Amino acid sequence: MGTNESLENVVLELRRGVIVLAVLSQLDKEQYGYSLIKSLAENGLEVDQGTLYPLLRRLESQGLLQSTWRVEADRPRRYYVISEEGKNLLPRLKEEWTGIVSMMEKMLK
Amino acid sequence: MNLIDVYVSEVGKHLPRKMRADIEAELRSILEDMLEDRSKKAGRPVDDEMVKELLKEYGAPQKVAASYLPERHLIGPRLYPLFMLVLKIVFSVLGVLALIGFGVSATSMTPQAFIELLGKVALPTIGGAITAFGNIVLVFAILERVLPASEQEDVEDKEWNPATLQKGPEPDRVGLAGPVFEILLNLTAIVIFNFYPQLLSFGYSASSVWFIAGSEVTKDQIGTTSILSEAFFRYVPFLTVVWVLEIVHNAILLRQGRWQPATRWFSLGVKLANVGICIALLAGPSLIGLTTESLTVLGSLANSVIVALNSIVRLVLVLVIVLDGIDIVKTILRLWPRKTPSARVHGK
Repeated sequence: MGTNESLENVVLELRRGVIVLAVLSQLDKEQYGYSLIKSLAENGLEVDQGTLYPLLRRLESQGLLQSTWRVEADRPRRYYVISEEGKNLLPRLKEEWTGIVSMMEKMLK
Repeated sequence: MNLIDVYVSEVGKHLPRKMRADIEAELRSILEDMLEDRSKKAGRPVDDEMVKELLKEYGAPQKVAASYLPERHLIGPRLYPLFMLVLKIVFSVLGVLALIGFGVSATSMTPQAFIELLGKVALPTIGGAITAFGNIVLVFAILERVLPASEQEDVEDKEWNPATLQKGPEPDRVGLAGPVFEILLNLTAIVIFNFYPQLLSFGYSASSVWFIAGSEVTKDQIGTTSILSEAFFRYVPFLTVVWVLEIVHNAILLRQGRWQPATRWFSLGVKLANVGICIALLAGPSLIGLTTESLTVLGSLANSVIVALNSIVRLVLVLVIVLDGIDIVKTILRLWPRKTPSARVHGK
């Protein structure tokens, strides 16, 4: 395995660690899957659709998201939004994230 | 049916029924959104080429379906160490038994007969090993699905106590079961071979009535015969000495509760004597006292039975030699003087 490939794998692992927090932070307003991918990409986080959509289902099964089907322009779309439980969890996740960032900044000095 | 529908249907085939319809609907919606976006960026309507390109990037149907499913194991990491341990034990035992069986048979065979035996036995042995492996995998695969995961991990965590690390394993500690079992076994051997050898004999008659000698006499009894031969019984006094020494040795171990250098030397001596007697028995004449005359009721099978019994007895002797040999090596290693590591000097 070359150095570039190793780097890509490690970067992928790093990004995987933040996807859940990123998704929850963007779903305070209803979005459907594809619009969420574009929204995350606009914020600099490229997420593979094969990663995001199963993740959305998993977060919903854990009670952190809610979803509804709506038909718009003859196209059915599944809209996701953060649930009450997700809203309660999000501030604590943000706090954890702040702590992690501060700890890493210290370690990487 | 367009290509998107076919693709979605293919993904659905690899999904459980209960989530299939829902995921298919969502997937179709996502792909249509992506196509619309690409069409706008390309400035041209959706065409087959665009669809194929999208589906190629999206990924193979099996891979897409797998991303929706939890990681599945036939035997997961929780049970895998135990599975490997069971395999090692089972195949070690099977391997040793097979080798010993071959070795014992080989001592009384011509090279050609041995090669023939190898051919006859090898395939069933390999088949048996594969069957054993399959059965073990099946049992563990069932356990993987039946054992509740979180409960098992919680119990293990709750029961884990670092204090247990201090209790063992100590190589010098002696349990209760081992010495008691050995004493009983040696005592039984002394009693049977010295005082009740007739238990190893049987009476036979032309009408094929077999009975333990001395227990019943029929009018047409021809004679009695011992299963073990005179050649074996000549060694009984020596074996009796070894058995008595084993009883004494195990009694000392029970009393002291741990191995000492003196008991290890004692054990070494007794095991060497035992191995010597077993080698003498193995090298000597047949240990089976049965004759074809005493087994006339079996007709042409009589000789084969005698050969088989001879092999079994030799197998047992070889097993005793091997096991005692291993014990001898372990005892020597434990008695071997070791360099103790130099003590650390702790500064004040």
